[in-house]
Amino acid sequence: MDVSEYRRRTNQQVAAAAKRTRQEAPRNLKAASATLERREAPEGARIAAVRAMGRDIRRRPTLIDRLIALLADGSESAKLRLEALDVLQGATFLVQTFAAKRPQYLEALRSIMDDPDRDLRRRVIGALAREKDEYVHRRLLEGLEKPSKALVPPAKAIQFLGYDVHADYFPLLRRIVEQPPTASAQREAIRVLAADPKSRPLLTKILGDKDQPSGVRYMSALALQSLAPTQFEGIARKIALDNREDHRLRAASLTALAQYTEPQATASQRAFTRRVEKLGERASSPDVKRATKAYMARVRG
Amino acid sequence: MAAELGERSREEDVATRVEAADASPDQVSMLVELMRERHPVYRGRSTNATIRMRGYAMAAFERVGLPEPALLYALEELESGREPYLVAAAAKALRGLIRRERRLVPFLLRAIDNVRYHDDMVTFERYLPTWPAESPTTALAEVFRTLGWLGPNAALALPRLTDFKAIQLPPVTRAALTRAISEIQTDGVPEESSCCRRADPRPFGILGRSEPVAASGAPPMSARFEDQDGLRLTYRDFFSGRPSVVVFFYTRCTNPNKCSLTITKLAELQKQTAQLGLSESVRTAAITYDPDFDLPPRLRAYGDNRGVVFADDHRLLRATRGFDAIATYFELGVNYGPAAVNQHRIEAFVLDDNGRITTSFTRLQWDVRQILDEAIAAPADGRRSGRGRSELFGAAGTD
Repeated sequence: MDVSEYRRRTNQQVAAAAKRTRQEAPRNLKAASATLERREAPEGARIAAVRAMGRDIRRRPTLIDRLIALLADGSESAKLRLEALDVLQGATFLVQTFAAKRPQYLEALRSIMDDPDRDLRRRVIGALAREKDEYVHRRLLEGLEKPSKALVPPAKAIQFLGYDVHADYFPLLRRIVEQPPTASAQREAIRVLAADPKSRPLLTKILGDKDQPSGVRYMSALALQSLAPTQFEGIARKIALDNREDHRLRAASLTALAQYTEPQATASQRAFTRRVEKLGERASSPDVKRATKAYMARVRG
Repeated sequence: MAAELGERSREEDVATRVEAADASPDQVSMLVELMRERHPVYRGRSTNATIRMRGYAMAAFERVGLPEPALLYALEELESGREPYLVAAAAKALRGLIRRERRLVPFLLRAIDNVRYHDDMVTFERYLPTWPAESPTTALAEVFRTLGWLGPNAALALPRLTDFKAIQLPPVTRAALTRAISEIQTDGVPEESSCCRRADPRPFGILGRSEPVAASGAPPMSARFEDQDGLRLTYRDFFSGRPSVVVFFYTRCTNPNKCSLTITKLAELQKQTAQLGLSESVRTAAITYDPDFDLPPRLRAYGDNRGVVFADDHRLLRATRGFDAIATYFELGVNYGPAAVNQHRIEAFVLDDNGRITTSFTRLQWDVRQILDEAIAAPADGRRSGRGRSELFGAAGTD
């Protein structure tokens, strides 16, 4: 989809949602609270009530208690609880107001980590993972080691664990990279291994392995560039000049070399630059052509 | 006899040993050993695991009594810790002291500042709990309980506690606050603490044990470094010829009271050194615990962002060879998980013009002016090696 079309549709959706909220929103906080307490009220009205309560949190912090209770209440609909979670996550930015409620909020999140609703579970786990919560780490690791206990798909679990570089999952991730349960889990594991200096040999091996999917090699290149820029520079130069290499990877290597190195600093870099110049003249891939042009523009300042 | 706890011990086995510990000297000593960051049991674990294990052991001092050698660990956690579980454990540990010392109060007040905006429910009822837990507490609740336990000795804290009455708190924290205020206001005579007599320069008697680094053995002269600009040099190149101040840090540290503050204070120290016209008399350096990750561009950005002014005599360094020798010489209080540091203490050192330690400032926050004075006074030939100091206690330990 074209980006301007995407923007137009998004704006339309936002405007429609705002209109719905205005129509459904209770007139005041008292009405909102009453609507929320009426279980027989239409779900849309109760969701609007939760939103209305959210707007008053700063003035009435006790509303946070009600929303935490709603979030933890498994007998309520997942949609309503997701709305409560949205409002509570917004309220966490009211640092002073929210501070006193934080322990109960985190406790509530932990207590619903196994909720049957997939979306709610994923959101809750994500919120806890961003807090580097030890309980969610234990449960995510358990799920990666024993798929029958998994709370979220492996790629998602790795993404959540990746929020904390002080964790102990790196050996497990290296195993996942070599024997991936899914392609997305492999890519996610490589992305997270960018924080692990011990993974340099593995990342180097994958980047140099032409049998690996180009997406996986691309991810390895990014990780290696962060971990070992000098080593990456050497490998990236070889890839950029290799006609049998994947064009996307060649272009990405050239872009990285243009952005993160000094193309004219050493004799070997100057020699490489001359070869890139020639490459620009004869490359057939538009991606490579574009990348060589950008590289040469950087050289010429 | 129980097997030694080590790298291969299961977390659950460590917890079982902690739970079974009683007040006998060997059991208490086992718990004190678990306070050391370098204990092999922490090697290769995540930071979350080290927090669990160390916090569980620290909380056990409430039950078995807090011996003098462990007091500093609890105070350090209260002063600079940000993890609710460890702060709660440290507050609990203080209740294992025999005497209720009013000098504990500033540490507890600082702990309140450290955790009040990111407190959490924690439980010490069992190791590796599932949630919801049966009887959770919070770090603030444990700090309030300890202030209450101090009774009239904590009178200094009353205004702060009274302020909290107007704030909404979780029920468990609110109950602890109410009770603490009542206990502090109880008619009673504060126990006179030896720490408050001017004549006693060694409050709690811990100064001699603020882990002065013994400076045994020779400095790691052949260790090699790369600085924030990628320039290479040896320990001998940089640390010989003039006194130096050296601190340790790493860029991925998440506790703003530790590495980030250390480097900010180093920048302030540079500023004060320049104001005294001593920039060329005292060198400053910060050495990363994480040399494989902290490559020169990261070092430069980290220093720049905290006001460090780089020059030939003022650098951030990563060891490219000989980090183990450096860790041994400085007795670094650090341990590692699979990819990064998993825990560390605060540590700063003054070195003489032969690169030998003359004074160490460890665990508790150091004062810029005090460390600068030490550096200015640092003599040649390491004649005063092995002194330990800490800002908050204001007096030096000895060899």
